[in-house]
Amino acid sequence: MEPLELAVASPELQDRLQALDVRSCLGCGACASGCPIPGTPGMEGFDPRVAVRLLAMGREAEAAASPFPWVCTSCGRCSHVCPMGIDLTAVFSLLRGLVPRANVPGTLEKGVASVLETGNTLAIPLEDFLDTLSDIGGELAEEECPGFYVPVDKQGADLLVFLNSKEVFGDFDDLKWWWRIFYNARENWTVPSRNWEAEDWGLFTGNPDVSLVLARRKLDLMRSLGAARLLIPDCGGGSYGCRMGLKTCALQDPSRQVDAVYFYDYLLERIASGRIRLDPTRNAGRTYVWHDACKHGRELERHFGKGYYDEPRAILAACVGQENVVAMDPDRANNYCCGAGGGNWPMPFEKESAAHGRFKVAQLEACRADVVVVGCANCRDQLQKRLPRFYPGRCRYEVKYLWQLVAETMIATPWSQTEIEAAQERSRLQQRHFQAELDGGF
Amino acid sequence: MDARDRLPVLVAGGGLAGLRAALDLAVAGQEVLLIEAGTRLGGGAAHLAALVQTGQPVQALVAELAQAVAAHPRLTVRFGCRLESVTGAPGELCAVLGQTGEGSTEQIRVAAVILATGCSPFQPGGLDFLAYGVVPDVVTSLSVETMLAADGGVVRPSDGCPPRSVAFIQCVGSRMHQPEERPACSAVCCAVSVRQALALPQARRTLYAMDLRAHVAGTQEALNQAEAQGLTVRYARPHTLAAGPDGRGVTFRFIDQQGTECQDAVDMAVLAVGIGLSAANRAMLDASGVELGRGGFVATDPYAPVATSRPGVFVAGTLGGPGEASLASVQGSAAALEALAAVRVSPPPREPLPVLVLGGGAAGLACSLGLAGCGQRVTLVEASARLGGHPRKHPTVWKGRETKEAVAQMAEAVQSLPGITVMTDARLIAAAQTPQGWTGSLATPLGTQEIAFGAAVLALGSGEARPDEYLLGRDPRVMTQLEFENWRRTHPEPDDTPQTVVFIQCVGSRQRHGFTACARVCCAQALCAAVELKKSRPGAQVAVFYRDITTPGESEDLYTEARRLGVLFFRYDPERAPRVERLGADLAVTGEDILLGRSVRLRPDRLVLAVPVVPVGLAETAALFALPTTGPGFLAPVHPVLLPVDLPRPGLFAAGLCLGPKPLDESVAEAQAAAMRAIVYLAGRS
Repeated sequence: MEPLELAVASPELQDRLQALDVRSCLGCGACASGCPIPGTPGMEGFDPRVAVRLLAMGREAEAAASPFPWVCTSCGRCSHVCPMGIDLTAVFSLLRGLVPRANVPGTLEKGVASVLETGNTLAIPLEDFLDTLSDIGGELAEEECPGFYVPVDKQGADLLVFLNSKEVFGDFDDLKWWWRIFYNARENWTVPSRNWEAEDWGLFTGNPDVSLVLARRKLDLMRSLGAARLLIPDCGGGSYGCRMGLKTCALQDPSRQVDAVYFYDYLLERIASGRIRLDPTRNAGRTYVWHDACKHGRELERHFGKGYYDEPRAILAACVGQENVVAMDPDRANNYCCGAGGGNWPMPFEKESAAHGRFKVAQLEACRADVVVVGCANCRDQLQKRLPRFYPGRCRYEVKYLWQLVAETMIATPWSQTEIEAAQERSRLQQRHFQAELDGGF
Repeated sequence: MDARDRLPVLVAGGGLAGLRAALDLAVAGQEVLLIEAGTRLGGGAAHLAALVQTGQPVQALVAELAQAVAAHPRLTVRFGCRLESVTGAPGELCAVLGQTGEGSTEQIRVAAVILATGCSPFQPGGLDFLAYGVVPDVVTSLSVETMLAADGGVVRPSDGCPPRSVAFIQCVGSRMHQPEERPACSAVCCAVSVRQALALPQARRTLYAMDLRAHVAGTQEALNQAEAQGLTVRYARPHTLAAGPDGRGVTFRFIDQQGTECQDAVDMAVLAVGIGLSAANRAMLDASGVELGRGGFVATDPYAPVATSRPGVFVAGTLGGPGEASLASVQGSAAALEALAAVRVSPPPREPLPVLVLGGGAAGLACSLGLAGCGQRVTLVEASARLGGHPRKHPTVWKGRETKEAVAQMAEAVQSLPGITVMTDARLIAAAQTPQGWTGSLATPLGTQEIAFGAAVLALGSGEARPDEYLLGRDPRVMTQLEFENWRRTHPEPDDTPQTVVFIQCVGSRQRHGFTACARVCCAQALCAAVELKKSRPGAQVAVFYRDITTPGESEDLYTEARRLGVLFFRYDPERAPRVERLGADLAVTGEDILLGRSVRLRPDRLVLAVPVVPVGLAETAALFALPTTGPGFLAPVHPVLLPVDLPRPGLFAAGLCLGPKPLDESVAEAQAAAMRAIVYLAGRS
C-alpha cells in the first residue's frame, strides 16, 4: 500500500471540527473500548477513534463514505468516557451530514422529504389520520373508556401531544396506552391535525436544519393552539431532537421559549397528585428491569445537564413495587444501547444493529428480568422484534412501554354520565368541523 | 535586632517538602512554627512502600528527617493544626490557624509562610465505568502502596488471596477534562505503577496507559526490568470494569491500537489515581488570595518557582503542581531560601569566605542571586566569555516567559550586586579541602588565581548528544532540537517558517542498553517548537513521531495546545522506528499510523531530532573534587530524594543540568535549594 498523503480539510469543515474540539483527541481509545462496533462482523477497522483520526488527517470524505457514521447508534458511551470531553456523537452526526443526500441509507432521506412536504414521514393524509383517531378512539370508548375521543386542534388545552407515526400508520393498539392515561387523569389535552408527528428524522440524517424546521412547527402549534404545555414525546429522535430544536429556537429567539414537560415528569406529577392511581399488586410475581435509553439518560445529561435515570425508576417502582425491580449491569449513564439508536431501527443495517445489541442481550440474560420496561419506541422494537430473531432462545423477556405499564396498573376512575355526554357532544362538533374542512377541499 | 526578626516563619504541612523547609530554616538560625493537620509527620512519603526513583524503602529515612525536625530547639511542631488563611504584608503576615475537629481559630503573626500542605488523591467513585466501590477487586494505587508498605503483602479484597494477575489502569483523575477538570498529568503515577508491577513478580501484569511516562529517574530502567519479567504495556483504555465469576476478580473489554476487540480477566485492577488540591486547601488559598494556575495548582513563575502571587508566601511540594518526591525536597529548601531572604532585615554576620558558584547559566545565576539575597558573598566563575550560559538549551518560550530575556535579566542582576564577584573566561583547575573550607586555582586570561571558599555550588550545565542517526550531520535539513531552536531564532519571520516540519522523539534515549533513561525535557521542548510553528504559520504541516509523549505535571497543557493547533502525532514502536531517507531532492520520513494501520510519508523542510541532554566536561570538575558520577556521567547527589542537591563531599552542592536533564523551573528551584543548603552548611559550621 502506498504511504498515506496527509490532506487538509476545507476551511468551513475545519471551523466546525474546531468547534467540536475534535483535534484535542489523545487517541487513547477509551471511546473505542466502550463502543459495540469493534467486533461487529463487517465493521472491521472501524471505531470512533479511527473516525476521529481520519478527521485529524483531513480525510473526512473517507470517514463519511464508510458505513461507520450510520452503524453508529449515537449511544454516546464513547463521549461518556472521553478524557477530553469530545462530543463524539455530534462529530459522527456531522459526518452523516457530509454524505450526499442521495447516499443516505435506506428510507431516512425519503422520510425527511416526506415530513417536510406532508408533515409526517409516512405521508399519511389528513383524512386517514382523522379516520384512524376516530376509529381507534371509538374502539377505546367502546371497550373501557366511555366518552373517549381524541381532541384535535382543541384551543387552550393544558397539554399538546405529538404522535408516533408508525402507531398512527399501523401499530394502533400502542396509541391506546397514553389515551387511557389521559382519559383516567381527565387530562385537558389535544393533538394537532397537521404536523402531528413526534419523530425527528433530521437527527438521524445528520441534518440540523430539518430538526430546526420540525421544532419550529411544534412551537408554532403551541402558539396557534394556545396550549399551556408541550408534552416532550417518548421516542429517541422525538424527545431528543425536539429538545435540541427547542433549545436552538429559544437561542435564536428567546420569546419563542415554551413551557414543555417531559413525559416522565408528567407521569410523576399525575401519580403524585393522585390523578393517576396505581395498583401494583396486579404486577406481582414477575421481575422488572428498566432499560435506560441513551437519549433519555446519558446523552440528555451530556447536552442538557440532566439525565432521566431516577424518574422512570420511581414510576416503575410505583407500578410494580420496588421488591420486583432488578437492575442491569451497567446501567444509568453507562448503560448499553439496544442497538437501534440513531435511526438504526428503520435503517438497512439490520445485522450490524443486531450485533450492537449483543451486549444488551447478555445484560438482560444476566439480570433475569421477566419484563424489560422501556421509554423509547425504537428500543421497544429492537428488544421485542429484532433481537429475538437474531438471538433465538436467549431473549426470554417481555417488553413493555413504561406508559403501557402505567396504563395497565392504573385504577380506572369512571366518568359520570354528564362527563360522557359532554365529551360525546364535543366529539360530534369536532367531527363536523373536520368534515366541513375536508369537504371544502383542504 | 528588629522585632520582626523574632517572628517565626510558618511552615504549613509536615510532609517531605515542609520538613525539609522547616529544618533548613531552623539550622540557618530562623525560628520556625511547623503545623500539621494530621497526627504525624512525613506526609505522603510515609505511606510509600518504596521510592519510585530507587525502589528502596523510604520510611526509615523520612522518620529520621522527622526526628531531626522534632528535636530542633528553634522548631515548634503543632499537630492537628490547619492553616485557614494568610493575609498582610511580607515580614508581618497574619495567619489564621484552625484546630482540626474544632470550630475555634487563632490568629498569629508570622514573618513568612511556606505552604506545603500537599495534595489529595483523586476519588474515582465518580467514574462509573471504572466500577470503583462497586466491583470489590478494583482498587487504587494508593491502597496497593499501603499493602506493599505493610508486611502482609498485596492481596485482593474479595478473598484476601495474592493476585495472580493484575491490570494497572493509568491516568485515573489525571489528564482529563470531564467529568471533572483535571488537566494536569500527575507526574508520578506511571513510575509508581511500574514499581508496583516490579513488586508483584508472581503475577501476570498488564499496564494500560495513554502514554507511559518514564521521566522520573530510574523509571525507564525499572520498566525495562519489569518488561523483561513479563510486564505488558498496552496503549489502551478499558471502558467498563465488571466483576468476574462469583464477584471475584475483574473483567473488561478494550480495543487495542490496531482496533481489535480484546477481553481481559484479572484478579485485581489497580487504578493509578492522580492528585489534586483538596477542598480545604482550595478554600485556604482562596481566602489568602493566592492564585491558582490553569492546572488547578498554585501558580508560580519558572524563574521564581516557589514564589506565590502573595509576597512573603511560598509554596513547596505538590501544592504547586505534581512532581516526584525529590522535587518536594528541592522545593522545600528553595522555599526556605526565599523565606529567609524575605524575613531578613539586618544582614547576618558575613561568612568570611564566599560561596563559589561554578557556572553562569540559569542555575548558576539563580543560585548566586539566592545566596546574595541572604547576605552571602558569592564568587561566580563562568568558563565562557559571558554570563547567561546557554539559554538556548531551553525552549525559546517556557511557561509564557521568553527564556533568553529572563536569563539576561538574571545576569544583569548578578552583575549589579556588590556581594557577587563575577569571573568570566575562568576555569577551576585545582581544588583542595582545608580546615576553613576549600581552596582552589582558577585559570583566567590573566593567569592562575588562587581562591578560598567556604562552600561551592556546581552548576555546570550539560550538552546535547549527537547520535549518528536519521541523517544528522549528513543533511543540513536534519537538526537537533537546540539547532532548530537557534535556527528559528535567526529566522523568526512568518515567511521563514517552514511548510513541513517533522519531529522524531527519543533519538538515543530510553534505550535498552547505554543511555537507558528518558531524557525528560525533549517532549516539552519539541511541543514548544511545534506550537510556535503552528502559531506562526497555521497552515504548516507539523508532525511528531513519538513513543510516549512525556509532558508531566502542568506541561500537559503544551501537548493539548499542540493537538488543538493541528499538530499530528504518530506513535512508533522502537522496533519499527520511522525511516528517514533522501528521495530525489526531498527529505522523506516514512512511518506508520498505528491507529489506521497505514504507512504515512512526509517530506519535511526540517527534521528535528530529540537527542538527549548529556554531561559535557563534567568529568574533569568531578575529578577535581573527587566526586562520584552516575551511569551516564551526571553528578551523583548524597541521596536522590532526601538530599538531591547535596554532593557527597563537605560543603559541595550542585544544581541544574549537571545533575541530570530537567526543565528550567526545576533547574532554578535546584539552584535556590543548593544556595539554601550551602547557607545551612555554613551556619552549621559556625
